[in-house]
Amino acid sequence: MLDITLSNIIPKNISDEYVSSSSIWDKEITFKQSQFYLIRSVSGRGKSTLINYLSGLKSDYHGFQMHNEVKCTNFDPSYWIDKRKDDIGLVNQDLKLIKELTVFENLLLKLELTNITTSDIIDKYLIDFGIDNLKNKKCIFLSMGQQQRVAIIRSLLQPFKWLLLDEPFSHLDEKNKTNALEIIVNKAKEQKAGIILTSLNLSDKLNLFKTFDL
Amino acid sequence: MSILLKVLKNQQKLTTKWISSLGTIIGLIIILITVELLIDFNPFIQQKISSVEKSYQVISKKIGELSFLSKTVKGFSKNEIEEIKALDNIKDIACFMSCNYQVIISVGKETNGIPSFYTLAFFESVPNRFLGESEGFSFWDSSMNEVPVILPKNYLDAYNYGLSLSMNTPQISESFLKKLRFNIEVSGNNKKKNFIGKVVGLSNHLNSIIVPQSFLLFTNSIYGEKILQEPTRLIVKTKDKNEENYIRFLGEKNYNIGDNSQQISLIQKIIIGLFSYQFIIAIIIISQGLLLLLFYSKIIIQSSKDVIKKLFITGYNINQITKTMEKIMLKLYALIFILSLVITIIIKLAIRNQVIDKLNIKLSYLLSPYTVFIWAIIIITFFITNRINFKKSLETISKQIYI
Repeated sequence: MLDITLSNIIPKNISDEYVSSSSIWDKEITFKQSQFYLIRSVSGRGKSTLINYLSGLKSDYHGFQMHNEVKCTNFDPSYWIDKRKDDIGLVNQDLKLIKELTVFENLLLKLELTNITTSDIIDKYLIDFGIDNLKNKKCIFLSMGQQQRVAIIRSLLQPFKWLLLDEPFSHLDEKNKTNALEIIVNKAKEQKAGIILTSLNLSDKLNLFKTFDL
Repeated sequence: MSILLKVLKNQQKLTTKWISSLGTIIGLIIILITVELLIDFNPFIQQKISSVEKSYQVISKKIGELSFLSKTVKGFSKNEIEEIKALDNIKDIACFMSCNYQVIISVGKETNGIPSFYTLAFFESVPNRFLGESEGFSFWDSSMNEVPVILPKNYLDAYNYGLSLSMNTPQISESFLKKLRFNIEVSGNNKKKNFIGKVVGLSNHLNSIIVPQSFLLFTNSIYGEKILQEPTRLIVKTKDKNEENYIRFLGEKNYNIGDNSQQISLIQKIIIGLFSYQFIIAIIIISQGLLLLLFYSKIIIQSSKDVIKKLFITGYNINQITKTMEKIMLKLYALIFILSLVITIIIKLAIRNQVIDKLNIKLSYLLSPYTVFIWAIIIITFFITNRINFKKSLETISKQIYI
């Protein structure tokens, strides 16, 4: 189990107005593993910042995080690298794909790291997400929507207790968004993992998510 | 090939890679050749000027321009000898004893490629305490037909680097010379006798053929015709060869000092100096090569910075990326180190064939274990330095993920 607690976290460069109106900043919140959370807000309120805090990519805040009630004061990069390898599946807003590699190579890069399954799983996901025809295409030639789907698949190719997804569907049409969300939710349930998802708007499966407004 | 390897391999800069490799190869070759030559020349550099020879000097009178007008050779008078003996700097003194008969040295027939020869010669002797250790020299009595002699080292050099080249005869090593036997014919007082000569040592210091004093006393008593003249040369042991008053005294008296050992140590010093200079240059070049390679590694890491950050975000850790980086560099290092070793061997063989043989110094075809050891040490240093460099650079990048 990995429960994540935010204890009075306040970004260092956020205005007081945003803090006072937020249901996350400067509050004591615990994200329970196997629960799904939706973080909603308009742009500029710190959705990506929150995901970066939770995945160890940013540390410019007051307050602290706890993992299973143990305070995370250790910002040693290797701690967070291991977390991202073993516990946290991550989709950043800017996706972090290696553009000069093909779709398959980007996914294989993750698979070689985690070594949890064979490369057949990649083919299955590519079909499920409707991008199997792009398998050998370099990511630099993909549309943003296609890249988003590759990044989502990559986040699923590892053991995880949490999926942190930062605007993962922003360039997807409704059909692809619904399909992707379905796969993500099923996979998370299968692994008894939690999801923290940021989005400007999400209409599908809202009942599954506990919503916070930033 | 793993995807990680492929990703990082794509970041290589070929021009920088080959320039830095070339610099390292050149530095390595110079350093290995320097060490190898130092080891090969060591017997010459360390050529023993025995402690006896180092502390003794031969004093003679300078020959003036009008000396040819006089039939008698001007030697040291008793007073002059006493005057020298009285100097503070003199610890021991003795006169050279000369033969007073005719000596002919010959090799009757060609032996091992050494042509037959016949020459007039001249023997001298000094007390044994001035000669150091030459096996079989100190003792001779009239029942012995074999006569041990000490030859000036210059004689062998003159043969090897002069006569043998002009007459196309083989060069002779010191050990081979000691195995040779030659005829000595002494004659005078209407008597004649043949002895067998045997070289037991070479001297850098004494410039005439030295025989045991007992032999000279015996032969002079039988074959000597002339009344013994004043000694023309003295051998002295000094406290300090360069003592100021002593040098001034010799100058004022117009005396000569024969001291070949000083010249040899000077040559040795020059050779060691040259090698040291070359060694320092090699160290500088190899350091630059190493720095270039480190710089090259840094360039790879810096140009891959974005990719490496993405790898950290994906979950790859510093050790995994370091190992992959090392894999990429491994082939280059192998090429650099093997190539430098092979070129060093080729250069050594070329030197061996072209130069060393003429100097009569024996060299093996293989590199010395010391050279290979230094080569291995440099490889290990390269690997360790590079690993530290990779890790530090990656640690820096891993911290830069934080915004």
